[in-house]
Amino acid sequence: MRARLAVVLQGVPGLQSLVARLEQLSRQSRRPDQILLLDSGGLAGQLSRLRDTAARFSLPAVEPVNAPLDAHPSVWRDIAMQSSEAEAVCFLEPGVLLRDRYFERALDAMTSKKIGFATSWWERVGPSGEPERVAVESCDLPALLARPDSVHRATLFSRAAWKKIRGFDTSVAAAEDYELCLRLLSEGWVGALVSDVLVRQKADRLSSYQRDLWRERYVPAMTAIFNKHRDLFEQETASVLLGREETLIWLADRYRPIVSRREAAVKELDALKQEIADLIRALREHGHDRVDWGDLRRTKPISPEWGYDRGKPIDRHYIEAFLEDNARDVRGRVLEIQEDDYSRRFGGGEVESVDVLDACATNPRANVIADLRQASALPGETYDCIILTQTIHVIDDMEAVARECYRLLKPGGKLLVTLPCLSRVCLEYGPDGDYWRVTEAGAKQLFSAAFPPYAIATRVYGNVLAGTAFTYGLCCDELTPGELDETDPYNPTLIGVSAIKPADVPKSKSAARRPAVQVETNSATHGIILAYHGVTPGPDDPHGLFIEPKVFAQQMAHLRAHYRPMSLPAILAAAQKRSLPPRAVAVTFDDGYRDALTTISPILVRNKIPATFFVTTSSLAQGSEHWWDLLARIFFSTDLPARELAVELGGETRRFPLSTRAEIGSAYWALHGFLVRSPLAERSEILRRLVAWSDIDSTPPLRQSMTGKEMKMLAARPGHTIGAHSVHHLALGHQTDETQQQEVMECKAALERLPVSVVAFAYPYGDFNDETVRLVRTAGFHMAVTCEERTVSPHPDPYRLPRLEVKPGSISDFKSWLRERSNKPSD
Amino acid sequence: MSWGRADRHLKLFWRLIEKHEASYRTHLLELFQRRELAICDLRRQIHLLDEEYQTWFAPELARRRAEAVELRRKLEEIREQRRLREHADQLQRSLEGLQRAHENARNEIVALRSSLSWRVTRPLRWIYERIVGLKDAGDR
Repeated sequence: MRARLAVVLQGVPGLQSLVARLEQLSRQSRRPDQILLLDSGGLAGQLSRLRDTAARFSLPAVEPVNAPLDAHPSVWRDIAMQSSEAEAVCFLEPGVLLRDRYFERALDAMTSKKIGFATSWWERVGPSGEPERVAVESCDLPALLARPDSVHRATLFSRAAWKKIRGFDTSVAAAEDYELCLRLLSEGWVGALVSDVLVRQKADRLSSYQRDLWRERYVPAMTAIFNKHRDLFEQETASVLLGREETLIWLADRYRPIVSRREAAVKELDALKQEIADLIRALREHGHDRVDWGDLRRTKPISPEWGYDRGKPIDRHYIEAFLEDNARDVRGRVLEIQEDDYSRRFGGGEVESVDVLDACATNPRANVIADLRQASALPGETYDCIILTQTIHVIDDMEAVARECYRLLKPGGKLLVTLPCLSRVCLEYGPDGDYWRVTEAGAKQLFSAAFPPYAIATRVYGNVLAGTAFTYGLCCDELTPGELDETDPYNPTLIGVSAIKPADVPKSKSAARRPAVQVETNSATHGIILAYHGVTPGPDDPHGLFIEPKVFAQQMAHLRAHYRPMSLPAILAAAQKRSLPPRAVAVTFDDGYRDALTTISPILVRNKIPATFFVTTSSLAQGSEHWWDLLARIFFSTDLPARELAVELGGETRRFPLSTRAEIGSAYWALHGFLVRSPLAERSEILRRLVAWSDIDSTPPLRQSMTGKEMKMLAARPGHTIGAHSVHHLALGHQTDETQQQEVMECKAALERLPVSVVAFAYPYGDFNDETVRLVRTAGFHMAVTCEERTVSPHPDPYRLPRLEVKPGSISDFKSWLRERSNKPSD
Repeated sequence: MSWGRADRHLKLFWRLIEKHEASYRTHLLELFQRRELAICDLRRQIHLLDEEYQTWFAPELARRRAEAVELRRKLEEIREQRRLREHADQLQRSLEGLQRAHENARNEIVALRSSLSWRVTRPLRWIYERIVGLKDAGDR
């Protein structure tokens, strides 16, 4: 009787990839008897669809196996092995393609009970699609020691053998299947090899193919395997070295033609560029251009009036599309500029009243005559919605308008703004009155002067053709709908901004730019506490938390040379005694990123700068990724699996379009805004679903928190102290008293168990209430820091110490920023 | 490296290991790590170069080639148009020459026929034509 076979579908790569793998299994001449799906809960909603698919392919039902999201790959494998009832188990990861007879032939090769695993020849397929064959003569111990890739990732393992040798090894960071094979062979089991190419591994983003290219992961893993099996490797010294030498020679033979191909391509490109330049010159000599300008060969627009004389102007099309998208927010009491047409058209019956504002008293439709920079005649928190279409770019101080709108909005109210990105100078206001053109990033920056960044969503409209048509004064009818509606984020014509005034805003760490920094002027009696996060910058840092290491080193050298660095307790003690020395500064770091140990600490020690590191304690055993980094990685570091995301937030299903960068950004900020205030269970659940939905890479991320061991090492270094930053980094001011207590007390207890002594607390997101302060004091902390952007005054409240957050920028930006805040003369 | 050279290199390496096996064993971890690092880096380089070629060079080359083809076509079309225009000009010029020659000849005929000698000799031409006409009729 043949052995029963189980296939384990690994990872959290999304439904599509799982369905593709089920389809592969259906084509096998020998189908599996059991299919297990390793899942951390994120795929629960999709299980019925997977089961339907399996049934359609006449496969056994897919059985979910729960595995912790952040567990080691070896733990996942062991859980799957334990859950299986079959004699042979195959782990099928994304990017692995099986020939139709793979299972049949591999199972046929498992002829004896002494066989621990069965594998076959295989092919590695790179980006060009050209296969690289891995065909070894045998898969005995010397062969495996010589060539780790002798066994592929779809190797069949005998469950009996796995059980006997006590499972996969969790001490190796990668290649855990290779390690298992080595261990099996060394303990007397046999490996069966099918000498035929039956497996292909593509360069899939989620597959181990990519992980093996990452030296920081691959080499330590191989070193760990070497150290574990040193005797075996030493017994086969010659095979081990020769096998690798042979691989190197083979790779060098592949590398050379690829380099030659690149050189040839560069040469051909240069030749083509030259030829194209010559051809263009020749065309010019004949009186022709590279581009046929036709009717557009003119230096004056076709219509000087935005195209009104030809039909609907192009920007109007985009303005209306933007308001249509936000029509549900045009409701209640609305403020519009110069006329009320859009409020009536898009708000309809939802609008209770419209105030029409104009700075010019002669406008008969205006019932409010005011300056939008300071409409002090209007009381605050008056409007549910403010509509400003193509307005504020003709006002010199746009930030003042943003702040005034924030003041005028009711909590929960929405500001809808459109701004020109590419446009002729306004006819009405002329070259002296049309001040600004704004990009998408500029729009975000502008409104974050008043609104928290997570409450701002932007959207871009237009493309190079639409922009050209608009500046020539052509109208909508002169472009096709497709040409008009295609969005190119690099060539936008118009930017739409919607910003909500939060009903209750926590002082988020991400409140990157606050309206105004209150700076005390008497520098002789004031100090500064700087708040940093980390020094691992990257594209997935929407909050601007990470400083370039080089700039950070320059900043610390600057502090050492021109300021008086003190520890946090010392600055508090001096402030309480009114004896702060001039230019006193303390340095703090939030969130306990691992780079504190590897990069920040050596720089601090070199400059003799004391520092406090506020850490969370939810994953002291092995470190983990902070939720906001995970969220940013999902949205900004990977290709999203769909153009729309539907997610349940607070009992309501929210749909986020994800076709453009702007939409992705909007979705991110909306989710971040929600998750900041969510309780832990809800936050974890939403993140689990997002991870399952996305195709995010399962490799460990770049930014991780420190382990307890690393915290101890950090605390042992001169001038370094550890502070508490709660257990799970929740917005404490929005949690129940019980949760707050747990977060404060358990964090302190966990740190003291390391043992590390802690006297300072940092409120996550700077969010706290009186109860939080009481709990922090009761827990025995001597001080607590906030995110309130102020200098430290004499006699400060030790449980509400303000800090200034350092944002990324150049060293000269930092110097002037700090100088401004400390009133220090220029150096 | 050709297969022959690779083979020689491996054989030489094999002999070296045989001869100094104890030393190689002592430093095996270091040698192992160096080679694993080189393999990993080389594989990554190959992957990146391949990816760069597929995602940038190949489409860029295709775009530039297509642009060059299009410009060549455009230039050839313009040159052909110019050739045709020149040929048409030439034909026009030759037509104008022929028309001028035709006009001159016609003018010459008109001038001849209006001359005194032509008018004076008219009876002679009439008699001549009658004689020739009778002769032709007799021949038939």
